Amino acid sequence: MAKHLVKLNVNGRDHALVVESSERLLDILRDRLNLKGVKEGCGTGDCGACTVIMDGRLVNSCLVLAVQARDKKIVTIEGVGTRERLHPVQKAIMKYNAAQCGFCIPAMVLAGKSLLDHNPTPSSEDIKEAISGVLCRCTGYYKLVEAIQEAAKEMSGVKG
Amino acid sequence: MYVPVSLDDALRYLEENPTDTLPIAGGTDLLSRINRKQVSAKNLVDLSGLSELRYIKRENGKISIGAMTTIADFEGQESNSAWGELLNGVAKKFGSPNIRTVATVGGNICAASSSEDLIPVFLALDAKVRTIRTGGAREMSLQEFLVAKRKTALDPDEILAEVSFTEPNALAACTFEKLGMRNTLIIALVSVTAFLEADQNRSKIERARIALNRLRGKIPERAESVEKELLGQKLSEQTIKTAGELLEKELALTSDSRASAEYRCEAAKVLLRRALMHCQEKILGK
Repeated sequence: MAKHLVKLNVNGRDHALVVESSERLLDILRDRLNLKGVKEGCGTGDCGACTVIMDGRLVNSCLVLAVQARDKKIVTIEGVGTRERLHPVQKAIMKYNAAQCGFCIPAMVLAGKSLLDHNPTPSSEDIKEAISGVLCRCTGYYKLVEAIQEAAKEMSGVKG
Repeated sequence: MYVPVSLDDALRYLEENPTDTLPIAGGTDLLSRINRKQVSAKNLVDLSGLSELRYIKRENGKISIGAMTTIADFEGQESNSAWGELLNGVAKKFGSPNIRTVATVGGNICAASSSEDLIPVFLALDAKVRTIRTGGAREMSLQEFLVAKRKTALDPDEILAEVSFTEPNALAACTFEKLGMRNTLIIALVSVTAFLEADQNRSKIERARIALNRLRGKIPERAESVEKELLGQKLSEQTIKTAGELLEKELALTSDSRASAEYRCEAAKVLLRRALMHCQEKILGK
């Protein structure tokens, strides 16, 4: 099995890892870098639980080989906020009680953050579209949409 | 997995390792099939990083799209042109935002099945494809390139490099209509892409191309009898109605876990009507 040296930046830190051809981005994030906020749901790109941001856009880390993530900038939920300094999307999700079982929430936060990075004043349609690749089987979508809307307001308020 | 440093390097590798080697692009189709053990490949060549194959060019009345262009690259592309609107429209209905980041034009076409939203779109644009290998290139129509379900005209040492089509003129309109069980992350039960071009007076149809994700078999095809019937006809409600009736005769759909043949047939007629109405309204400037 061929081995590859892969350099990538995860949550602002540079890493150089020797990976096998068959390893997925999901595997190295969870097992090598211990970023357990990245969840594996279906493993076939249908559920979006493994969503991370790669070079500014959402991807399913189960469908990206580690080798294909070479030289990329990756952001996982661990790089979005800390317990002390939550991201506005995280704060709003707490305020609206928008998390039920929680399994999809890391991906939902990343989808919300990624949207607001590109579009600070999204409509509710924009938000539904942005989170549409992440399935919540508790089906609590409405509160998530409201929460992301609130985060957008807070963020644009901060920006003045 | 081989990571080529350039396009030439990728082609050389394929030439030297023609057996058991598969090119991988975005991987959204291939990796899920490998995970399900539907495909086995001893070796992959990663084409996803080849920037030489990632472009959308508009030159001398021709649009050329590199095979490694992602679906996300369509967003905002010439959205006030007929083709730009079409590509933006299909991008919105393609997979999910996560899938669109990495899924490529070349990967979608080479997957060669009725699930691939771009194939009927490019069929309706009468697209040509260019394949390349070390020291050679071939150009053929997309129809010729698609041999059968999951089978293309590519030789083991060849890759798809580009898809191109004539830029639709100011008298043309095209649209993509897709029906699935939901809006995102869904394989089309039926999709219809229509391309219409009117004469100078905007009264009669001068060119018509209709492509469905399934017509008779399990790969996208053009509904040629419907196209023929539309030629020279007036842009009118009656013409659109007749097209629907003709389509029904041409359809030989099958049932599967997603939908019954009867349902697909009804849906195909509705989508065709919607697509033609949309084109007509665009052409007449309504």
